[in-house]
Amino acid sequence: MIVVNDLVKNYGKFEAVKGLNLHVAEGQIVGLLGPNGAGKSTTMNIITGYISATSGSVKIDGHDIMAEPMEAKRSIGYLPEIPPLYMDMTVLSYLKFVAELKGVAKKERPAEVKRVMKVTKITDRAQRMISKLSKGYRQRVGLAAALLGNPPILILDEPTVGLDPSQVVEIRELIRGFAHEHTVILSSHILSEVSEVCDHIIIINNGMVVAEDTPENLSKKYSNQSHVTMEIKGNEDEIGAILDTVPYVESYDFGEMVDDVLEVSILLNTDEDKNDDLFYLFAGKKMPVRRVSKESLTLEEVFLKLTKEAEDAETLEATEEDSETEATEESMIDEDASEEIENDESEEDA
Amino acid sequence: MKAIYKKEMQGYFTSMIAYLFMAGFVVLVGIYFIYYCVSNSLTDFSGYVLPATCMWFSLLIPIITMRLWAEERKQKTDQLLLTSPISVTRIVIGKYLAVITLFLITLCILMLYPFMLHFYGDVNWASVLIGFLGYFLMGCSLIAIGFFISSLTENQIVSAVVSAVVILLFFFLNNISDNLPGRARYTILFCGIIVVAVMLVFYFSTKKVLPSVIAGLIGVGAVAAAYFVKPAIFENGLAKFIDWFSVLDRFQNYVDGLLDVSSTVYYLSFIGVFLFLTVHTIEKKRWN
Repeated sequence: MIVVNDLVKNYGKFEAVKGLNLHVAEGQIVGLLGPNGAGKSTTMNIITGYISATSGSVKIDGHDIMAEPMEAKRSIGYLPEIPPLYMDMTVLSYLKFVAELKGVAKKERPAEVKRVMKVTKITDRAQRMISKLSKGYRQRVGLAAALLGNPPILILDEPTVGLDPSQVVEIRELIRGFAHEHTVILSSHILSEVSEVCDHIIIINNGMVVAEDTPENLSKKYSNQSHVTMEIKGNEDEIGAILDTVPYVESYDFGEMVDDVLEVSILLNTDEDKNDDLFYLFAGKKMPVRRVSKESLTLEEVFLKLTKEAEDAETLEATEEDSETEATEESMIDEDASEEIENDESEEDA
Repeated sequence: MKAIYKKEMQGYFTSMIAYLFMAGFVVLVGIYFIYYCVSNSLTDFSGYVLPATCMWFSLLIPIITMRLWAEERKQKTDQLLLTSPISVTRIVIGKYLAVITLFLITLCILMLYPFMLHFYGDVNWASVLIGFLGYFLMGCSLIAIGFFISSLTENQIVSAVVSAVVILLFFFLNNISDNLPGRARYTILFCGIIVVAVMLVFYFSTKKVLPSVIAGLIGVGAVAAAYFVKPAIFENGLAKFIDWFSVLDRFQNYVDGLLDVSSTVYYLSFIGVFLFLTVHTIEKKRWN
């Protein structure tokens, strides 16, 4: 349905997209995942024909976006990162305009506008000025506009960014509701969103695809590392000395000490089950082991690992792990903060 | 195209812009009307009032052209237009037709002034209508310039100010060309500058030396050939070249009551060139 080959986009000397390849089959719901500035929006803008690529090709349903733009654009409904709304129009007149712009036949226009308003649940706001709508409702109007003409392909660029948590859930529900009737590409920098809605994930970073699979396979494939959490009776020095001699231990961290029992979280460079091995190791040294449990890497960790790898390629592996955990915490904090600020704004809007 | 046209018209009339533009025109032309026609008891509306009010185009036209494309880019609504199954040419023409419709409506209101004179004296309707036609065509040409400037920026204010200055400049072209040195060598120097500029444009768009040099050589060859075949065209060439852009010059023919075909063709091609440049600018933004 969508075939992207060797896509390159340069802004002057800056390479935003470097040889990106995408194949999206009909009916798939694909999540384009990557940190901010990874090239997601650029890629989507090229696929929809808003900007042109420096080189490479985009084929929509067999039509090249550069050679046959009309045919290609007709089969796409696009919701850009900032919904392209005219603030001085009412919801109804805006949707009528977009329907006409997209070439929906005159007779079908009222019914079509009514249909998309119903799907996105904005029928009661039809006569409101768009400038008076809250951020969440504006996003819905943008979605409704993208759905007009029932295009087989939907491209949604960060559809939930800047919304408050309840609006995020609503928009996600909406997308899940109509997604099965379309081929969808959805971009996000939030992993949970993509893994919840999409059946296929493409992780991009620095303008390249770094991984591509179903959410389950992705976490399986990249979990050649694993976490083991142990509770051992003993002190830090003794336990550390023992762990230092084990070849498959990548790094370890000490947690709380309760009644002489120390919690240790260990990162292994293998996904094999080493629980028994570790147990006997400490048991052999007369150190009672209270608990051993193993967890594979979560999808979140896979994502961070993949997107960080390129940047920290030169730094030592040990420090890389440290910086990763730090970066996770930082970005989490950032995200919460920015969400809060945006919530405030949208409340003011409302 | 129709969708764009309707949306633009709706936009003009739901905001203050259309009313501001029309009121501005009616009041300004009204002042001149009172001064020339009422105070001096003259019925020659197109001969006095229309040419006298031309200057105000520089203030009034940017009001309706400043937002044409700048606003779309600023609000990111160009993303909707450019990803819809409609060509840039159609978008531009749709928008342009909407602006000139607004201008035409304004002119229809202005027609009331000569109509008032009709009750108090003899109005030469043929010359009034021809005068209005010239006024309309000149306005349309300046609107095309305003549209082009709006496509260059995403800031409405910049778009308005630059348009006003450029339109003023177009009105002063006559004065400029009158004071230019007429000797052929200046024209040749000017042609040389043009050739170098074309070469640079070639070089920066293709980044290849050979085609740029070839383009330069062709340019030099053309100038040299023209000089040897007919040296006379280089006399006063600079002034002639600048006069070509003088939209006010052509308008004089209409004021004099002449329905001049060549001037009409001139205005239409002038509009065509600037609309083409607008389309090209919008297309080019997508490549950068």
